[in-house]
Amino acid sequence: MKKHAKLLLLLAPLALAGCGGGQEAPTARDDAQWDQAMTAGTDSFDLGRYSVAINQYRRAATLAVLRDDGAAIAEAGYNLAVAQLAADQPQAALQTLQAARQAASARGNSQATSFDLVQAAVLYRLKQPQQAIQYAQHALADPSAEAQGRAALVMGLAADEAGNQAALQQANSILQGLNGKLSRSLQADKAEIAARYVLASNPAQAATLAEQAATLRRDDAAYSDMSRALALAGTAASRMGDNNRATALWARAAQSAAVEADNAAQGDAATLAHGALSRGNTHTASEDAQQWGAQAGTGLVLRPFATPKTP
Amino acid sequence: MFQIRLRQKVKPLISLRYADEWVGFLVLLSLVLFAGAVIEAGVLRDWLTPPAKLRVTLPSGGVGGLTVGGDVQLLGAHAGTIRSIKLNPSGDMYVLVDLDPQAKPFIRRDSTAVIRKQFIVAGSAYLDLNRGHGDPMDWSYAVISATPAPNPADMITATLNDIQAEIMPALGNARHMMAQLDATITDMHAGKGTVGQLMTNDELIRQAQSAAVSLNAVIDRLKPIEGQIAAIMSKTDATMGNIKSASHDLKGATPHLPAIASSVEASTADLPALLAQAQTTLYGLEKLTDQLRGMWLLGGQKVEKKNRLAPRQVRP
Repeated sequence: MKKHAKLLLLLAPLALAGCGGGQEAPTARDDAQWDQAMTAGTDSFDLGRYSVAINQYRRAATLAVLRDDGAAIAEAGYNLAVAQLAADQPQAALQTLQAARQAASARGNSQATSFDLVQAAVLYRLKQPQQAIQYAQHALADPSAEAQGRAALVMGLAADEAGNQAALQQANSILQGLNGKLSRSLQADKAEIAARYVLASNPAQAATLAEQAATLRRDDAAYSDMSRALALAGTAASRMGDNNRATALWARAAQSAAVEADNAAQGDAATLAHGALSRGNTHTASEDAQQWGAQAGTGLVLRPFATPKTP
Repeated sequence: MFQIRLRQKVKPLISLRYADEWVGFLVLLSLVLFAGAVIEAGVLRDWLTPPAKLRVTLPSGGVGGLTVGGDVQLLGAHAGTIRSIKLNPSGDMYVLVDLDPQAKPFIRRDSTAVIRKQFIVAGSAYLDLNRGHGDPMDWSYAVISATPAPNPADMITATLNDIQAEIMPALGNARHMMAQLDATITDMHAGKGTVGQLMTNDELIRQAQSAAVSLNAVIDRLKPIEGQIAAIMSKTDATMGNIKSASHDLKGATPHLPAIASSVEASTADLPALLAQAQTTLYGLEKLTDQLRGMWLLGGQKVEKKNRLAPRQVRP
C-alpha cells in the first residue's frame, strides 16, 4: 500500500502536466514580436507612460500590417487610439481610428463598435457632442456590457453638454438597466450619469451621486473621470446654494486636473521627436483645470507642491 | 829668339843655361792665357755677332721726344739703342735701332713699340718693345710700328669733356623741372586746384576743426567703455587662465583616454545582445507568470489574456 502511494506521488507531476492547456488555434499571439509590442504597450499604458505605449502600439500595428492580419490590426489600432486619447492627443487618435478602420475592413475585419466607442469619446473631447452622441449610439450595439456602459456614459456626457435631454435620458435608462454584479467603473458611470440626469430637478441627490461616483473613480484609479465627477458635485452644490462646498469641490477637481495635464504635457524624448506635442492638440485636461480653477475663485494654487521657480 | 852672343870678358854672376828659351816660353804662355781669358769673357762672341737692325716707324705725331742714342727696352730690360732717326721719302719717320741679338727671339711680326717717358709725363723718352707671339720676324728687313703712350693729361681732358657732355642735358632738365615747380607753386598760391583750395580756402580747415571736435567728443564717450573693456580683458585673462589649467588637467587625463575608450567599447559591445536576451527572457518570464497564475494547483484559474484595452480605459 505504501509502495503504491509512493508510485502515485511520482506519477502525479505527469498527471498534472497532462492537465496543461490543450492545442490552441493559431492567432497573432504566436507572433512573438507583435505580442511583445502589445504587452509592452499595455504595461506602459497601465503605468501611465502613454508616450511609450503609443510607440509600442504603433510598432504592433505596423507588424500587424506586415502580418496582413485584420484582427491584429484592429486590436493594435484600437489600443493606439485609446492611448492617444489618454495622452490628450484627440486629433491624432481620430487619424489613427480612420486608418485602423480602413486597414481592418480591407482585410475583412469589421469591429466597428469598439472603434465607434473610441471615436465618440474623441469627438466629445473635441467639443463635437452631437457627432459624439451618434457614434456612442452605434457603440451601444457592442455585446459586452462594459462597452455598452462606457458608450452610455459618453452619450450621457455628450448629451448633457449639448443639452440633448432625450439622449441623456436614454443613456441613463441604459445604465440603470444594467444589473447584477457591476464593476466599479460601471457603478461610477451609472452614478455620474444619474447625477447629471437629476441635476436640474434634485441638485442635492445629484451632489451625493456625483461624490459617490468620484469615490468610485478614485478607487478605480481613473483620475480624469474623478475630477470631472468632483466638478459635477461642485456644480450641484452650487445649485444647492452651498457655495463653500462647491468651491472646495471645484478646487479639488482643478488641482487634480492640473496634475493630470502636467503629466500629459511632460512627454518623453520619443514624443518630442515625433512632434506629437506640437500638432495643435487641444490640451483638454489643462483647459478643464483652468475652468474649474476659475470657478473655485481666485487665490487657488493649482500646483501646491510644484518646485518653486528659481529666478 | 835671337841669341846675341856678346863677347864678354867678364864672367856673369849668375849663369843660366837656356835663358832665352825660358823667356820665349813665358811670352807664349802669357799669350795663351790672354786668349783664353778673352774667349772666356765672351768678348769675341760680341765682336763676332753683330747687333740686329730693327726699323721702327713712328706715328705721324712726331718722334715724341726720342733722341739718337736713346734707350730701347724689352720687358723692362735694356735691349738696344736708337742708332738714328730717319725720314723716308713718303714723309713718314722711322728710327733705326741696334737691337741686342739676345732680344731677337722675342721680337715677332705682331710686336709693337710704345714711346714712353721715363716718369710718365716727364723725363727722357724711350722705346718700349712688346714681346710678340706671332710669326718670326724677317730680320733682313725688320719693321714694327710705334705708338705714343697715352698722355694722362689728354685722358683727364677727355674725361672732363665726357662729364660735361653728360651733365649739361641734366642741368637743362633740372632747369625745366624747376620752372614747372615754380609754375605749380604759383598756381597753388593762386588757389587753383584741390591743393590750392586746401591752402587758400579756410572752409576746409574749419570743417576739419569741427570734425576733430566731434571726434574728441566721441573719444570722451568711448573712455568709459575703455574702462569696461579693461575689466572684460582682465576677466578674459582670468578665464584663459582657468582654461589653461583645465586644458592642463585634460592633458594629464588624455593618456588614460584610450584605455577608458577601449574599456567602454568592450563593455558596450555586448549591450545590444544583452538587451535582446533580456527582452526575450522577460517576455518568457511574463508568459511563465501567466501560466503559473492559471494553474489550479496554485489556486488560479485559466484566464484568457486580452491584448485589447478595457472599455473603461476609453476616457472621454
